[in-house]
Amino acid sequence: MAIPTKEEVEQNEEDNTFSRLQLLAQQRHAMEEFWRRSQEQIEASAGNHEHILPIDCVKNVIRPKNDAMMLSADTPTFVTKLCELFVQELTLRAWVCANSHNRDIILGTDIAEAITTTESYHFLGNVLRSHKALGSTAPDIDTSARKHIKLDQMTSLYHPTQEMQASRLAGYPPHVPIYPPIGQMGTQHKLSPFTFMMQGESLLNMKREKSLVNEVMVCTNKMSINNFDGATSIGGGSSSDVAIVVQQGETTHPFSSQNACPSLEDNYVVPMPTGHVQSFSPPTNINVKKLHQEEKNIYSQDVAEEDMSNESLEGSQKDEDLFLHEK
Amino acid sequence: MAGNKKRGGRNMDQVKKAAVRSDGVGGSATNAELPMANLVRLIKKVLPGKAKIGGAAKGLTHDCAVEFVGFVGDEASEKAKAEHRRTVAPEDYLGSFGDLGFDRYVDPMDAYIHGYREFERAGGNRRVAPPPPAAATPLTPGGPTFTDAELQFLRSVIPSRSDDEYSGSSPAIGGYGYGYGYGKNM
Repeated sequence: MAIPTKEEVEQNEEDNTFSRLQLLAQQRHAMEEFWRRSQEQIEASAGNHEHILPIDCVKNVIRPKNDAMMLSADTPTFVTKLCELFVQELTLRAWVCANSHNRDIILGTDIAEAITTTESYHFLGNVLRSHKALGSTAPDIDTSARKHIKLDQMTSLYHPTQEMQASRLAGYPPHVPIYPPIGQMGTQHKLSPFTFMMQGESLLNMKREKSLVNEVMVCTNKMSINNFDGATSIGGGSSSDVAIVVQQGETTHPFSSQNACPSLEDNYVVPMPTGHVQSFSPPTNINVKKLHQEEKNIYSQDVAEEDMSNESLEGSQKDEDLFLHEK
Repeated sequence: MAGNKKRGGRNMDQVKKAAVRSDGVGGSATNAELPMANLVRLIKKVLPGKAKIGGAAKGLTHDCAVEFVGFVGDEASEKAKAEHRRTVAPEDYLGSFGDLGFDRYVDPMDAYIHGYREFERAGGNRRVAPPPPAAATPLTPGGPTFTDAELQFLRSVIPSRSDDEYSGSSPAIGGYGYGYGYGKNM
């Protein structure tokens, strides 16, 4: 017995942090030696074994449990030996626990620890509880420590699972192709503002066209004012001429608007010859044609293009009249 | 010293009985007790000399031993009932060890019961051969030992043989003769 104790002491000194696995290994080693020595002792005695525990007391322990059953002649002797082996095994396990705590005195906590450590001793839990009820608080502390150890083991078990999940996520191939679709989504998002910009540009173009139209209207207004001034100056001559002049003014107003479209040079040159031409030419025919043209302009813009072509023809005719007048 | 120890043991037993009676929740029976002195001797037999046992540890070990005997005994009796036998035998205990997780006990206890039965068989021969009155005599189970009176009787019956031959072969014959002679006298 001395040799293993020395070895145990040396092991305890070497391992400052005594772990549960080492405790179990030491228990297993001690148990192997115990069972080997027990077997040798039993075989050596050849049945002539002296019992330390009295057989009568063991009978009393057995009998109340088995009232309806009888015991064979060799059962009390058998059970006495069995009880001796159990007590020695339990004590040896408790001794290993006491050594793990660097103590030479076996306490109740050591026996409780031995019971907790060994699976086949689960039925002794009732005994521990009864002892707690009697007032010994030490087993409570020991069991709480064991619970903490189990909880630590559980937490340690959970961490690897999380790491495994993380590694799985990292190594999961389908995640890689998911990124390109995100890029495509980005490109799609980029396309939509481009279309918005296109729409904006289109709107700007529309505004510019409107501004051009306004400029044209302004020019026409200016020309009409000038025409009125000319008409009034001419009207001051005579009463009969006044009526003719008034008619001519009305006719010149739309004419000026028509002439404004082609170009400014035509506008500068046209007012004087237009006045002369109107004074000489028959007003009735001209008025009727112009009214028709005005009606067409009012209806639609497409017709305006045709009016422009007609105006160009009329301009050419007027030029011929000028040539004839000069000749 | 021995007397003092015994008295101390008895006092401890009385104290524990009182404790058990006061504690109604105790699982063990009131009259199921083991002597503490024998238990401590058994414990110290397996531990090194420098080891000591606390009082609480002794009490806890005692209660565990009583619980163990009851636990294993219940299982063995159930096995015997299953086989429709009213007598519990060591084989029932050996069978229950496997079910209860005490596999290490099977080999040593099997060897023990075989050795014990061989010993009993040898002793049984000596007891069965003589008539019942001879069996009633208190013989020590330690072995075949003869008192001085028996030796003188044997020598008087067979005086012609030498000491070596007498000790070597005649004990059995002498034993039988002794039995028969004793029977005739009765």
